[in-house]
Amino acid sequence: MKKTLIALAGLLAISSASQAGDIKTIRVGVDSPYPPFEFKKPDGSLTGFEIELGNEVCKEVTGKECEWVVQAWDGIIPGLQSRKYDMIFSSMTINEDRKKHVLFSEPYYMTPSAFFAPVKGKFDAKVTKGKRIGVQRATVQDKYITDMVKGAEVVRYTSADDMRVDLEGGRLDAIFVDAPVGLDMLKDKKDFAQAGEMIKDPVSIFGVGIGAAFRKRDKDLEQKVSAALEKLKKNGTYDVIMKKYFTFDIKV
Amino acid sequence: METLIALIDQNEIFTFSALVHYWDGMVNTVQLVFLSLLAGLILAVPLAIMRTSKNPFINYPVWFYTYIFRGTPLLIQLYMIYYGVTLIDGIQDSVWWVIFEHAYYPCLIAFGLNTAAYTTEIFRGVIEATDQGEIEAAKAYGMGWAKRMRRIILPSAFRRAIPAYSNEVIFMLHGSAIASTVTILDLTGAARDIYAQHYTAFPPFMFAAALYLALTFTIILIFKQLENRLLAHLQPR
Repeated sequence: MKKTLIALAGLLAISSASQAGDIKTIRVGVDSPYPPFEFKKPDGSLTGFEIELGNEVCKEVTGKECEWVVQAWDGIIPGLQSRKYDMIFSSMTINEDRKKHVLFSEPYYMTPSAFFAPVKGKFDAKVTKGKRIGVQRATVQDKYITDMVKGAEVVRYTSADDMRVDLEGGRLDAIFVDAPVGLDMLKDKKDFAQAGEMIKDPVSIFGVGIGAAFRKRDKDLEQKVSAALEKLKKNGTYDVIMKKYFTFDIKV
Repeated sequence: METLIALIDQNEIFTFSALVHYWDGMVNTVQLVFLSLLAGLILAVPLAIMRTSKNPFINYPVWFYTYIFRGTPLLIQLYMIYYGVTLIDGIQDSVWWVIFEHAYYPCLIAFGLNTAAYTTEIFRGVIEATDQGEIEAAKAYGMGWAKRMRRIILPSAFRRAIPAYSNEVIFMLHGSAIASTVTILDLTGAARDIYAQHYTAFPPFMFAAALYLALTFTIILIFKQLENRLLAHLQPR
């Protein structure tokens, strides 16, 4: 009996060792829906920017598409640690807090921020002295205006809705928000438009971007995924997918 | 002093710039509360006299005003005056926009009108409670309505209103915390900023609460002095 158990344990050890050596499929955790990054098509299958990009990454590493596991956001890191999946590919911002718990790949996208202003106000992002600029309190946009844009008056809001009401009411010269949020907020308003270029520098404020996350010990998988992402960014596959979902550049 | 500086250096939340932020907030709070109380007080005197009138055409409009402003939350009044006015067509191009463009004056208007309503009712109460004997004596001296008001009723009424009015001042101070919801950097607004920077609610708000307590205590002290001087004749011996 004892001998059989040892033999069994040995067999298990061999089989798991062979699995670690070459990865057959990558199980990927994602919080859906979060359009346009991940959402369900009418037929029920997942699609979106991250789903398409993730499948390309999995094909590079294993030759097969990813096995997607839908997981609510608040449990997404615990799910990774308890081996429900091996990678998180779900718009997770790389930051120091999370680095304590997970291993990040190289960043694969970052949404820029932008000024949005009334069309007739002719707001110029370079001439901000004395201008009233609305931001959401304690966001990276707040930090950028506070630290980098000298002479502007920062007006801080608790919610984006209040900020929009004041912009439309004529109380603000401009607002500074995440570009997709701003574009969505003002898509039906003819009197308001983006002012100036999209902004994603400096790194000290905006961070390095969004990365895939792994268990700390899976360094091998992390390196393969980072390499695959690098290749897709260079060979044009990334750009093709990006242009399907965005009118602006989110590549980093 | 050195230990104090060392203490400030050690902690992450209450840095020097954070303390300056709190100071700015406190100055704004005190200024806002003081100006709205002053406006409220000036408005409340004539309104209270009108409110005691027997003529319904004078009495009822004031009753309606105090009814509305005492009957609805201050937060909603502030939202109506700050956000509501932007919906009036063409206000952005009118002369009124100078007042309504920034948050400060709408806030002052809302607070002033609100405290005026409460103060009016406080004054009405004490005016109506004036001792009938005093009024009869004044009439016997041949004083007319205006002279009676000026010499007998109002001076005595104002004194008797002090304890109730000190409550209104404290309520106004605490009510002013909602100024932070319309982008004004008051004491609560400063605490909110610090809170949002550090994702920790307890220390920033506790610190703000301690400052509110200190302000409240100052107000109580001032009114206690006033009561001792002006209400000495009514105190139990």
